[in-house]
Amino acid sequence: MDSDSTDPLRAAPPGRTDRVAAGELSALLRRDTSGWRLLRPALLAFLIIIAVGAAFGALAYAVAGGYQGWPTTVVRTAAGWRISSADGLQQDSEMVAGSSMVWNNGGCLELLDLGSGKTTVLQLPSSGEQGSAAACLSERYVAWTTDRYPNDIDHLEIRAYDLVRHRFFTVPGAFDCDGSTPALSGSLLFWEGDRPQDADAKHVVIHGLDLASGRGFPVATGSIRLGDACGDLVMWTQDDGNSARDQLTWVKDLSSSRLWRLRLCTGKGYETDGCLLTGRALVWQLDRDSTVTSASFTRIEELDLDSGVRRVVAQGNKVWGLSAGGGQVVWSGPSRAPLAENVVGGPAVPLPVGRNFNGDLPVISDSAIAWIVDNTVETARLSR
Amino acid sequence: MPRTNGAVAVGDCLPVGVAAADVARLQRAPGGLEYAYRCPLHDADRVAPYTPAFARQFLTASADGLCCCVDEMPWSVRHGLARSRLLAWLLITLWLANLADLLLTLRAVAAGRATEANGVMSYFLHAGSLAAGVFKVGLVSAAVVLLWILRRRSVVLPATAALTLALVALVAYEALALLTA
Repeated sequence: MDSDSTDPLRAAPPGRTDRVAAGELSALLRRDTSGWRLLRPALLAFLIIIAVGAAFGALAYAVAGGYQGWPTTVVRTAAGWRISSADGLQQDSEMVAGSSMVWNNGGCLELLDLGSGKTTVLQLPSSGEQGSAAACLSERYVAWTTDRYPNDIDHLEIRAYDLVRHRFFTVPGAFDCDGSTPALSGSLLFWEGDRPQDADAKHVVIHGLDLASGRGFPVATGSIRLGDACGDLVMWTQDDGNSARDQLTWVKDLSSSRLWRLRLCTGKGYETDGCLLTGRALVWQLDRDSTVTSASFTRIEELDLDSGVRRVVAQGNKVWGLSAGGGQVVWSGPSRAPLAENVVGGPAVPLPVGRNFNGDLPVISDSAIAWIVDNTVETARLSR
Repeated sequence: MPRTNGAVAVGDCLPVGVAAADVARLQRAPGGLEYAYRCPLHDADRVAPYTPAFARQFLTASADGLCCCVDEMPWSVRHGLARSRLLAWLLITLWLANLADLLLTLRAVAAGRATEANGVMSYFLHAGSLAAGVFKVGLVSAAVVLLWILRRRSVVLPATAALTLALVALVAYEALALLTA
């Protein structure tokens, strides 16, 4: 650092004037203390700090990305898409509607555009108990419950994603949601909210909100549970006793305000296990009550709400259900191969799930199905 | 009187080989050149053999109000590291990185790629982007001003360096997360 020479001054010939010598000193000092020479150490230290910070950030991202198992890999197959991740998908639910699929990968809510194969992370895993977001999907929106504040499970809210405008937003007025799965039909969102004044009495309010217009409306109140929504129909259940057999099912047509009050479990020794709306029909599964007999028996029934016609779709001791969507009901028979049937009736047709199908029932929309195979999700287009 | 670099001046009409200034001067000595100066910290007149590095160390010490005596000068002065200059750059970077963090966080939260982990910021984010921005930028601006006021304290530079490093790391993380979305 001290290698610069001062010889020019000492070597100055005798007899030079003071002014010349002083000028040389000035030049020497100017050279030795030039801006760049003063700047260099500070600049070096500054750049090192920035570079180390950026390197730490990149390293942290690489490590965190690895732990969370995303981004997921989407590969086109002959029939649709196969979704996987290096760590294996930890999905516990998937749903399809229109040209979109949503699945929950270990608390990470992800969206797949079935047309382009593009994925979007809707919600990262939360550290709170609500980490596994309860989500619902329609052709236009995805909605899910989430912690309003980190690690604060007492305050929830509903977030939504507009599939057309590609925009996230918080659903206004849904701060009272109780964390159960909301329901979507087109732009209509339904959720359960605690009734503030007597929340201890398990009285809940089912709220409705048109996400397109912002118009909110109450649907029902009481000791009830939100079920499903489809078109202008919304369904909920009401406990009328101590068992699932005593459960009442309500369906409301929002366009005509017509209300159906149904007792689905009419047979002795059965209990309701799953109830869904698709098209203008209600489909449900009845299982033989395990407390009455150990022999399993399942019956899948359907009710056309407009005509009132009630029919058995499938039944047997090797029948499994239940999935519905796009006006179809899906179940599987003894071969475990999934079958779909239009709710208006008609032949049951096998669904194109491939040879490695492992028996988990697919979810279905009017144009696609999705199912889980060995920690991957596969989709297939449906030809109508 | 012409000046070089503010602190050291060279006299026009002084005896041969003598540079003079209000705080330091370069002068002839039997062994070569000497730097006669007033230590910025001790406020005492000292003399040291002249080297170009010492000239820079003196300027650095003058700017930071630190000792530049040969055997006592601190690490930063010895290496010509202008602490005030470095601190100023770090504080500017800290402020800009904080702004980048705010914008990237808003973008990431809006895109569903992240949730705000800081409870206080989460509260303000729910109140709106403007509220979150005013709070975050205001808080960090106040901190930057405070750190600059306290810049003579030895702990301020390493603390600011650590803060800036951490915030740059966070911004890099967020930027990568958004770029790979």
